[in-house]
Amino acid sequence: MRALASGWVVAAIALASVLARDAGATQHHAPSIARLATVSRAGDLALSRGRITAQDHLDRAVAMTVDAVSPPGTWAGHDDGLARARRELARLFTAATTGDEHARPAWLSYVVRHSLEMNLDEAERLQAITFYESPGGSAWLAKRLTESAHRAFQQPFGPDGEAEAPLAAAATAAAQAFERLPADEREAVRAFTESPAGDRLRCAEDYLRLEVSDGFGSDLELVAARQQTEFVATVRGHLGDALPRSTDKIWLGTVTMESDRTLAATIEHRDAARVAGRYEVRYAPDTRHHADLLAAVPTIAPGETRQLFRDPHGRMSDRP
Amino acid sequence: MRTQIVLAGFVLAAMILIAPGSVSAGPWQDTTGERDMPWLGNGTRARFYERDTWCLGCPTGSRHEQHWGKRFLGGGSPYDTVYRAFSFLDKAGVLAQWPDSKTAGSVGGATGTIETRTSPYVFTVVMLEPTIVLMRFDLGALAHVVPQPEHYLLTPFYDQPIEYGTRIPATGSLSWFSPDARQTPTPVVLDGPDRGTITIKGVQLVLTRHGDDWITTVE
Repeated sequence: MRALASGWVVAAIALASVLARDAGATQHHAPSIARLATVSRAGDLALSRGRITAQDHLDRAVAMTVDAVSPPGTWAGHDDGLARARRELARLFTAATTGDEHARPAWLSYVVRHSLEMNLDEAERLQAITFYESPGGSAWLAKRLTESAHRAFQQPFGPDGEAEAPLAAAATAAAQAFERLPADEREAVRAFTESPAGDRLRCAEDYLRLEVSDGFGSDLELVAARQQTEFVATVRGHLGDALPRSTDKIWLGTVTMESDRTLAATIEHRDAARVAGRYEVRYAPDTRHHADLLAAVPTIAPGETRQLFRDPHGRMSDRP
Repeated sequence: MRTQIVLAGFVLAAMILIAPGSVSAGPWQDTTGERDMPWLGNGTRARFYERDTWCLGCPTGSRHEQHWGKRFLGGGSPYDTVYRAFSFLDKAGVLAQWPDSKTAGSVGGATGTIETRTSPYVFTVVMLEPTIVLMRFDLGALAHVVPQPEHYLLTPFYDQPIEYGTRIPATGSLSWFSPDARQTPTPVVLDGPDRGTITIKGVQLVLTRHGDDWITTVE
């Protein structure tokens, strides 16, 4: 038994030494990585582009919270209230995340270096550095940085302290400066962006944009989880009568009575405001669950479709 | 020769210790507590037992075991009870009539691939020895909005928690099935608006309506 234990100890020491060696290897980056990270402004570009892409995550967080304000199936006749609720929630989420983009410099620095190391080899990195230090590369980068910063204005995670006008002016000026480049400089930009190194750099930048965007998405989910109740109360407090009446029922889907009085229900499994599954069930008048379902919609007539809700006790009805 | 025998003994002992599944078991603990435990056919309530076992060959190095029944030795794992019940429904062709779960996909089972299903029912194990499972009609099950109870079981055959206990909400019509009696889902026979009975293998389970709940007893 002692021999066996000794074997485990030896194996553990060997494994630890291998892990330590690997850890040391991954922490050693080539100088070209740091240099390229600096001249390409990869972190700044990723933050702006990530904020633009994070719009999808914001839309989802807003949709989830709209469902919490009032469930689907209750908003008919409240189009104005729905639009205002969405705007108000987008504002609340944006305010809750303002300034967060600069909260993780160590993480951003890590993913930038990781992406440049993974996507480009040493020769490609040196080629990219040369490009960005050229007049054409520099102008092209300035154009992209200012354009992204302008498009990201008022998106989640932004500082939003600055007005839009300076961002728009900077973007216009950078675009004009790029247009004024000599023909050979513009040709050099085209040649680089269409080269294998340019292609690899684009992969690295897209990877970064998605990493940042996903990080923002996670943050928005966290905000939604922590502050949903508060946001719902705020929206209800601000919009009041423009919203459907508050309810503790959950929307299940719809039920239609067909011409032969068969009840056809479409039930939605919603997960975070998205439809995860849609199930159709049909109950003919002579089947057992027809009575169960008819009890929820006792006045339904052939050809009619009703909303279907479930209260916390499991009782169904067609009223929210 | 003697050295060789001793060495072989060490190797054998090491193989036994390292073999997947080899365990050093802790004592069973009765963790029934406040759980609403299912009935046993003899009219008493099942108990819930748990223990941790060391397992050198297992990925995590330990294994958590659960049993339910009259005693920790007599009963089986609650997950086995539910697996056996749904396997019975599968073999009887009942599960094939229900929709494939849009969120769970399929998993590998002991006898092949299991297609995880969903349905407009909430399942509650109300009795062991023999096993009786109640099915409560609730379209909220398809929408996955039925509140999850504190204690529940899972099975690869179904995409939602399986409840257990003696009390269930009185919403939606009730059916039941029993793998031990080879009984596929059938409506609970109601003797009146507030009372129903299920009889199998000489055991009578009575359902009595109390306000918003059905309460089960054994007679």
